[in-house]
Amino acid sequence: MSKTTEKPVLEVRNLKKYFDKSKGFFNREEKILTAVDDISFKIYKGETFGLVGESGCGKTTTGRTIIKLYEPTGGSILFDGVDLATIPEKDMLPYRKDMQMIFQDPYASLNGRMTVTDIVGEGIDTHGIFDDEDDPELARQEKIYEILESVGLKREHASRYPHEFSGGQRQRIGIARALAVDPKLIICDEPISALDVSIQAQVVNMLEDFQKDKGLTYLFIAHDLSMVKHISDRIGVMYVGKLMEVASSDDLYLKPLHPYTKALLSSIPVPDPDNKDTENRIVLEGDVTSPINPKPRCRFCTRCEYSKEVLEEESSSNFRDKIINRYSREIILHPETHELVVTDGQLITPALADKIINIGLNKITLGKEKCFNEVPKLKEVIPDHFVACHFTKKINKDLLK
Amino acid sequence: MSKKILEVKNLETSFYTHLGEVQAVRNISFDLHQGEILGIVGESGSGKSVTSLSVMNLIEDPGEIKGGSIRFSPNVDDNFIDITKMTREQISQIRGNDISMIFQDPMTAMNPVFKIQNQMVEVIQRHTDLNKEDAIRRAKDLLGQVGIPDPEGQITDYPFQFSGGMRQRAMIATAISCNPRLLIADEPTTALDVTIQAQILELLKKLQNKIDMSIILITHDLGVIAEAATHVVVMYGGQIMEKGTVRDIFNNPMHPYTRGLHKSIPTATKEKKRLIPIEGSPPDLLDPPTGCPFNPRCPHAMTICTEESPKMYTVSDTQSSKCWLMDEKAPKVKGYKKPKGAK
Repeated sequence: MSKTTEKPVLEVRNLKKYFDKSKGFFNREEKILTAVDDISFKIYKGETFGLVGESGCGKTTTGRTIIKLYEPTGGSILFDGVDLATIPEKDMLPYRKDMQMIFQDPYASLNGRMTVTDIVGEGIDTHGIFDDEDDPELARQEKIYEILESVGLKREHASRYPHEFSGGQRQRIGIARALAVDPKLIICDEPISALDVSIQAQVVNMLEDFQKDKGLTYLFIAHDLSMVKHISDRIGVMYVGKLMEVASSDDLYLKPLHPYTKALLSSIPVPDPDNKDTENRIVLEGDVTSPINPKPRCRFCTRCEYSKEVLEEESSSNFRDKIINRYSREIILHPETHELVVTDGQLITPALADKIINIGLNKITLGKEKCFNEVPKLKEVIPDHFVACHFTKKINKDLLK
Repeated sequence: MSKKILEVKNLETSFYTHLGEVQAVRNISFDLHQGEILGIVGESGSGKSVTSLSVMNLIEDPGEIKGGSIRFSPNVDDNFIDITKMTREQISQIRGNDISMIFQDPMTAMNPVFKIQNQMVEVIQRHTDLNKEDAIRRAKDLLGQVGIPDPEGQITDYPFQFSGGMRQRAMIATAISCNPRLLIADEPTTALDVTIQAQILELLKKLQNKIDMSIILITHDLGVIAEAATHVVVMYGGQIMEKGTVRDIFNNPMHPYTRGLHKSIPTATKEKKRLIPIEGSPPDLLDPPTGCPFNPRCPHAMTICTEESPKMYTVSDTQSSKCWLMDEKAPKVKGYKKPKGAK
């Protein structure tokens, strides 16, 4: 089914959120953390859009910027056709009613000095939902009871305080709070990560039931890939502030096209001791690149299997010319002293090139120029399947047939 | 079968709080043989970490090992010693040398004001006769073994200069520095991302093979267990519910809790089906339910389950389950095959 004919509930265009981490007053050192860097996606009515990625990839910042807990640095956030990015803070209230959030930590996200009634009822009061009723107090109380029962709590819980509940029950209170104002979109930021395995399924099933009953739309942020696959209709994969791939959840798991998605999916531990796939596992080398002052290149290029090319030259002067200003994709240790000459991902300066030649090398693995010098754009490779990689077609010949 | 190196029998560990006694571990027994990776799986509060701390004799006031024995064989001949009866000095000879441990959070487990080198050399020199120079050489060698790209240059870094995955590697390098017979890994990958988790699990399996140590791997993630463990202990409410080989536990689980866990997790490979949660919530260890700790949430609970705790029934040579359904007098329940000649 093509999504192009439908109208999205939420459309994010070129969203950016940078944090200034500069230090010093004199000798100021510019340090810009690009938490979310130019990402675009759409979420359609009644669907669940999953946002996955490793810690620090900017998925939580994306969620928080959409609801404008953070002021976006650039781009637009179209919610029902209105660009929230242009709306000043004081006029945001009516939009916040339609957009609610469920937080990760059920211990930190509920005020310990408020009763359950006050927590759940706060949104109702702020938005004056029952102001036109004959008896707003009664209507409010009835609504709170109704919601508490729908999330599996009891009426008598209404007068209790958060510390009297278990983690799973607290998360239910958090969900009740989000539902109290009848929102259209709920941003679920790792809603089950802090819960025990046997409780996670209870909460996920409940979220699914509410979606069916009330036609809710979810943005589901999580790092647990199995759970995201389970709950989402479509999924976006983030890596260091960028969207790498967006596809329907089945497509993404059956046909991952981006090298990062391939590696990410193959690292999920499978609860089956006879599973043989682990033998073909792509184990990524190295660590995540820093989001501070990133270079204009693919964020994944320093870890990517497909960004490598081998250069071999007979003549050492040719070799020297060809490796200068390129990036190494291997670790070279000095054969005798075992000292590090050049590391994976390092720029080869003229001085370094001389060192490499001095140890008698004429062959080296380099990073492909395109990957290291140009940011790949998110492009629709097959219908409703977007990938940000320079070599998508080349590395997926079999999958794209 | 390879040699037994650890035998935990009827272990009971409690903590005394102002609200009363928390029975964190209640009467558990298991064995560990050389070269095995024993996965202990359970939810928070099930007693899996307290079990491992008891094996290290690291339970401190207000906690206490109330009963049972933990017999460990530190050398090749079968000289077993009871860890629960050792003095502080005796145990510190064993700790870090024959048994070592890695923790969930590699940042808090390392001292932030000392260089990686100093922390590793301290451990190596504490347990060997190496001089400082040799100890540094050994530390560099270990860092290389666990996949730190430039041990020569990075050994003089401070922990904060390492990423989470690298810190965990440095922790593992320190833990294996004296070739321990037993390594206890308490949620070693929980704080890490999946791609880094894959690297660390790979590394643990490789090392286990290479230096023939045994590992106790504590985790709440069934996927991690299936991938790394050879044997599994399933804990709930401070007790062992079921134990067996990894295939027993995944292909033929014989305890309703183990089955409940399997059904409540989605898998990326299987088709989308509605999850079947375990209803209710984990027990309060201050006031655990009488009988089986799982009875309030168990779909097959009978009257006896609420009155008396079942014994560990032998299902097969390798598997046992602590469930009344395994008793010969219990009614038949679909899917649960009672062992022949069950005792």
